[in-house]
Amino acid sequence: MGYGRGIIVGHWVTLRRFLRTFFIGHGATLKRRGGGHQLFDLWPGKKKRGEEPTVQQDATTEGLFTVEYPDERLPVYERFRVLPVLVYDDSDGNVRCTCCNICAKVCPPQCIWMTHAAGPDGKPVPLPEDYYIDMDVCMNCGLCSEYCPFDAIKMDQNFELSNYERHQSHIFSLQDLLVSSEFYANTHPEAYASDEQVVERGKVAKKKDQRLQKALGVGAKPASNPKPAAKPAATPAT
Amino acid sequence: MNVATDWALPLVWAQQSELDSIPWLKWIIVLAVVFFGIFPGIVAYMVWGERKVAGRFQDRIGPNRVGPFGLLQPIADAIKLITKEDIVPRTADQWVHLLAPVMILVSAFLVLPVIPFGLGLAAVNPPSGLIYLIAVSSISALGIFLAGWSSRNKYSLLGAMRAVAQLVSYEVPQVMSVIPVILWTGSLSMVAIFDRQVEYGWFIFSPPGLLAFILLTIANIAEVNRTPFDLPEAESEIIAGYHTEYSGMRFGLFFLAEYLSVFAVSCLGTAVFLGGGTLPWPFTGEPVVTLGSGQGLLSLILVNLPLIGIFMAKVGLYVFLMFWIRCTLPRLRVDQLMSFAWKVMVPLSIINVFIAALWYEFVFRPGRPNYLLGWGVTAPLVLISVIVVLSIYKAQMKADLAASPTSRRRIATAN
Repeated sequence: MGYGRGIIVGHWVTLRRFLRTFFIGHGATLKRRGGGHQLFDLWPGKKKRGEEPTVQQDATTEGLFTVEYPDERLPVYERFRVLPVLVYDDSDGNVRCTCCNICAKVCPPQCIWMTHAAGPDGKPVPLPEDYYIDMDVCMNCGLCSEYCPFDAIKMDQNFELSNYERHQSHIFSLQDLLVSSEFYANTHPEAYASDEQVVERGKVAKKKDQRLQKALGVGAKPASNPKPAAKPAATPAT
Repeated sequence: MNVATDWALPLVWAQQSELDSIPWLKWIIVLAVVFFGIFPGIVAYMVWGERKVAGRFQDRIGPNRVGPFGLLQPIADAIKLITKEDIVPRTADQWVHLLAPVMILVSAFLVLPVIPFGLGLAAVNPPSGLIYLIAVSSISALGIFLAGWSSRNKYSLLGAMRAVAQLVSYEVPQVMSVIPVILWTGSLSMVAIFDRQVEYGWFIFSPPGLLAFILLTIANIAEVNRTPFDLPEAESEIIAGYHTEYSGMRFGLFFLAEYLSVFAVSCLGTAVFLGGGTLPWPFTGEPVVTLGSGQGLLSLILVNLPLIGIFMAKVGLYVFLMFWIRCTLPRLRVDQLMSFAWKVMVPLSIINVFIAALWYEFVFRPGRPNYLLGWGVTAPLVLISVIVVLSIYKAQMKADLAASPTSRRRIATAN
């Protein structure tokens, strides 16, 4: 026989939830400063845009679990992926992409397209002159980076892509897409240091050099002299 | 206690000064400052408070973007509501559609003048204040029905039907649960009820008073259509119920009226059972007894400041109780709602009137109140009556369930 005992117990449960937010977790402290930037701010010393603190939050978090996003953010983990980027090597400034078109072919929504760069003699060289990704179409599947034989296209973690204009600015060109290998190594330390990628990088460097030498007409010889290639057509953005 | 029982005036300084000779000035002050300034302000920040409290109940923060701690949120909301397009359905009954929210708002406002916030701070003190209060608060049922009817929308009409059924049902226990207070006071005047509690302590400190307070609180929540009794505007069932077809400031009036009536019923509960602005039992009638004896403007301010403060604190707690209940209980089914009103609340409130009469015999009638005998007799009676009524209700619900054609139990036994 209940006589409304469940109702009374339920009220106690909710009241405890309510009170806990004041005594447990970040509701109990004044360390985390949300609420946005205001004309009259009760939290002096708030970090500027882009320098917001990262907070750790998971299933064991007690009390308030709101992450006040622009003022603080959750950590981005290595496997998190949004849009692809093109990697260039820090060592020589070369774009890894050889314009082989495999990414464009595997891309399920067909949002990648590119054009070959031409060498001094007018013949195509294995470098992209233009490389576009329509970020509105991209479905963030990561197949391009899986299939890339040259480790040139990688998935990036930047998710703050909102814009006031979507017809021009949402077509990412080579300049928007290029990132340094150091940048990639920072965002994906584990993957970068993995044996697989180290071996792959070695192979790719060799292969690319071979093809570049061949295209530039230095000689059909195998890569016995792996000297750095000439400056590519596309200047990498830093 | 002369001041309180006098034909009470709105503001302390207006009462004491020569402004008394210009009655219209007094009413301008009451209407412009209190009714169009303070009460809507209280309502606006009650909404903010509810959003904050509900947020905490759900482990969230609540509004905190507009101004520090989100304190400017009500102003932003008000601007939004005022500047929104005022859409009236083409098939709606234009005049009734406009009249309905005004009516509900007026009904919510009309409750407040008789509330004794302090000594001499009831705007009017009619001898039948409690009857008046219950009468004007029931106008809202008509307003809700007009809103639903004039919208020409099936959801509006469904919501209005539910609202009328609910409000009419819960008005009965609401009225019945204040009968003990009338009995004990011997008057319907809100100021007299306040005075009686200054003398004898809060009415809630008695077994029938406690039961009546609980019944009144449940009925109040149902009267202002708040969860778990928010069937008239159940957004998961009938969009927004009776105000589906309202937008902009017309919806804003509904919104204002809802929270104003929450405030009003909290004031009612506080004034009738929680002793108005007085302190609880060990300090029975405290700020009034010590500070209220002096004459003149200064002593009136001196006694009224703590009175209003304590009154508002109690109202705040009462409102918090309503938020708390809202955050805990899910919405009732229509049949549960009706059967709870008619099979539990009404019988209990009728029985409670008799128990209250016993309490009157033991405590109020004799020269020296006999609290021991009062508690000894009425407490078991209240307990027994609650248990008996609830047991009968439960047994009946079980029987109804077994008899229901869609009941799993019945289907199982039939196989």
